[in-house]
Amino acid sequence: MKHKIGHVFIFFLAVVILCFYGWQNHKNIQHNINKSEDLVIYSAHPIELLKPLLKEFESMTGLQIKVVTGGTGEMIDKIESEKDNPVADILWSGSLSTLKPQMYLFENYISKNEDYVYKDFKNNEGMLTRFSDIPSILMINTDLIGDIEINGYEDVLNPLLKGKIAYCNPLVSSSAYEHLINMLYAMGNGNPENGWDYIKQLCYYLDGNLLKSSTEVYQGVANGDYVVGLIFEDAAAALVEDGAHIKIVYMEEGVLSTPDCISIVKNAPHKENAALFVDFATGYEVQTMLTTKLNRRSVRVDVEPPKNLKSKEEMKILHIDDEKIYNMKREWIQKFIDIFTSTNQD
Amino acid sequence: MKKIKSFSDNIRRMFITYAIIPSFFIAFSCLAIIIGIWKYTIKAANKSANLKVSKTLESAINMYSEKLYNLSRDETLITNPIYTGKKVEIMEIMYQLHSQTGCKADLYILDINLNTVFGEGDRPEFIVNKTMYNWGIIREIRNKPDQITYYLINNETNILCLGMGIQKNNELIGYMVVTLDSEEFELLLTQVAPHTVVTDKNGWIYLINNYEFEDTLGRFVREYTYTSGFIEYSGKKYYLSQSRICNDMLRVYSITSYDLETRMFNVMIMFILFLFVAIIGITFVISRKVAVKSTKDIYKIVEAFEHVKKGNLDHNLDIDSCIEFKEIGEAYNLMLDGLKTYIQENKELSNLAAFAQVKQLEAQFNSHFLFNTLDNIRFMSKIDVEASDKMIVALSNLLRYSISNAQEEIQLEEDLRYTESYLTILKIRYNRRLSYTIDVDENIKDCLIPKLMMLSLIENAVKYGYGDRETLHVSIKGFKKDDNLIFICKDNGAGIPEEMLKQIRENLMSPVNKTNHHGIYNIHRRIKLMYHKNYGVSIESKPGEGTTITLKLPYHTAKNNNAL
Repeated sequence: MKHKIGHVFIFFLAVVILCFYGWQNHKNIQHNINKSEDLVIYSAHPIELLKPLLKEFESMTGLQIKVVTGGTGEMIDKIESEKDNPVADILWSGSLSTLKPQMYLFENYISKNEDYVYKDFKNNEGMLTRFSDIPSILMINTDLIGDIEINGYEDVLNPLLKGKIAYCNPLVSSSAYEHLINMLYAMGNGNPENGWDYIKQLCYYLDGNLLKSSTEVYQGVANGDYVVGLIFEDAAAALVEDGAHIKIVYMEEGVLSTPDCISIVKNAPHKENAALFVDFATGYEVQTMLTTKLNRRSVRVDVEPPKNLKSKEEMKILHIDDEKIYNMKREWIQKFIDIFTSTNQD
Repeated sequence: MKKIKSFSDNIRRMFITYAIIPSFFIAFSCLAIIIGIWKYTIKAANKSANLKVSKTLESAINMYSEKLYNLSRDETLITNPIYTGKKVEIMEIMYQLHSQTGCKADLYILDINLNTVFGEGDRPEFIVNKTMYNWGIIREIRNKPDQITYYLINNETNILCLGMGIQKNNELIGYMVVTLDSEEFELLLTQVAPHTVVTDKNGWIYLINNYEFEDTLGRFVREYTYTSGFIEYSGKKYYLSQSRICNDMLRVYSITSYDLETRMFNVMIMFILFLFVAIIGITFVISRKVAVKSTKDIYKIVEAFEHVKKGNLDHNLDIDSCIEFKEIGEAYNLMLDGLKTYIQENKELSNLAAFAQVKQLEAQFNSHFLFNTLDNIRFMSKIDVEASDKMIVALSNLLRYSISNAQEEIQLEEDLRYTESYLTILKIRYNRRLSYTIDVDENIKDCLIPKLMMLSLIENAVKYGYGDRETLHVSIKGFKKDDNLIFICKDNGAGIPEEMLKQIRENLMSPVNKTNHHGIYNIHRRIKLMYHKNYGVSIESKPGEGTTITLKLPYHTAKNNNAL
């Protein structure tokens, strides 16, 4: 009898504990249902651009979008590694010259807005739908520049600016690569091979500073760590709009304006939704948003150019040999890095 | 079969069963009840907060929606210019709603080309560009012009737009939009305890006071589909309740963190379990000691009884731990003392009795022998004076020996010497009619035997041996066998008739002699009284052939006499 009472107590104890934990776990299982998304976008665009556009798309379609952000190079590597089992539906960033060598990663898709796109920005390849037009520019911190007048690449080579130039490694940033091409063509007077002299001098004036992302470039100039930054237009324009003491200089030697792209990943799991999104991104409303709110230039003929940005007619626009650039990408980047390391060794 | 356990085991089991387990059971029950109540409280507080936010928001939005709907019926707002009186009328409604709902909203009326006909500013926040009809609230109104539509703008501040189309003949001619800035409701969120998040139907956040649940784009976190209940998010525990308001256009989440408390309770449970294990462990060790200590006296008593069982009565109980056991101990000691005294007295009494009996038996032998010898001497003094003189000397030796009361036992050697004296007397008396041999091993000559025992054997043989015969031969053999002394007295006399033999044997068993045959009985009785056990006399006889009497005695000498 004594034994039985003891056993009953222990049994009850066990039941109480088990019930308590079971109840807790049960609740957890019931209320944490894994959610699947309708569209996965890899993007290097800033949140300021993603937020209003994705908000509108979700409201319009009711689809749930998952966004993974990071540098363009990083995103392409990710897509490359997921080639056999794709996670992403869309890569929404990357300049044409960056993406072209790896366009086999993307699906053929011609958006329904292709007819409205400028001739220069047509999706000739089939995989690379142009999203916006991005000129390379110099951004200047007006508080720190003083009397130095900067109108182009040549003016940057100023002993007073040594170590004050923000430039990013072209290996990791597509905007830095655009600037490299821009410099080679502009300073080589149309022949990129002649531009390397300028690159050598620039590397000397960089004074060992090569940044790791384009964000560091525009933030560095805005924070006053650097005086001049080699960057793309919309990053600087956004800062200008926010009232930072920043000036945009379009290089007098010539400005390279290349489009960035929006591409559907090959064998994307949500291909239909991805096509819907590409049409949305190239549509009139989004392109108008770009020019009116997001300091970007549209690829559509029916969208007015942005009012607060210098019109392309006023710039010296460089026309370059696309094919050559794509073939030389690896070689040029390597050459730049060699020059940079040898210049800054001493 | 039930195993009989020790007293200390019982104490330990009782301790665990009736003290520790019930108390832990109660502790756990209490904890479970507390946790239950606490969870219920969390749930209830969370739900009521959720209800408060939902109700306030919904009633404000519904009131604005209602007025918006009513106003939108008035197509003249677009078709005709709005004159001052109409403006005042509309503004009055807006002020009234402001005071009723406690939140301020702006009303915009736009024509079909998105030009502002009523409201501040030419290009309100919700219009990006006048060419963009397919964007935001305008798109929503164009899709459903005859209903209230909702759109959330996520800028620096979040603005909720309520839209309604103005129609004329079922054709859209203008837009009406009411904008509610999220700042208007910030005060409401500070009035409730749980974290509150209000989102649109896609999860974009309108109001929030806890950024843990906001993703980088400003949406309610999307790892899981959250319904009301206890959830786990980024390793922490929350209670979440959700309600859908305004035709499922807005969702109100109330989130109460109970992570800290859960961890506290877990620690408490672990602590109690640890205590439980520790106490049981300690109990196992301590209870034995405690039990042993408190039952020490019982074991003392048990030990004392063990001693008694073995026959040792000298073990006293010494208990002074508690009154009850002390009482038992004292009573036991008293009892033991009484018993000891009684046994001692009894022993002395029986010794006395035995001694008296032995003396009496000896006395019987003496007188018997004396009569016979004196008879002989009387005859001999007439036949052979020299022989009678020898007999008298021998007799006087014997008498001296027999009445010397010094010892009951005597060395065999000495006894044999006196036996010689006796045989001398007999030899003279019977002359050629008697022959004898005495054959005793040398190694037993120093053994102790009862006094005059050999003499009695011979006397008995001579007394009954002749019968109607002329001669008699008596032989005595003495040797050691095992630890016993054996004497065999054999004669070739007349023997004892079977019936009589039987009688004698029976008589040997009884403590009182019922026959007139004193010799054998007396020997036997003396041995019995002196040595107890299975020592004594056995008798074999066949009529006409002789009698054999065997004596069995303990082997002992004067040196190891004390051993017996």
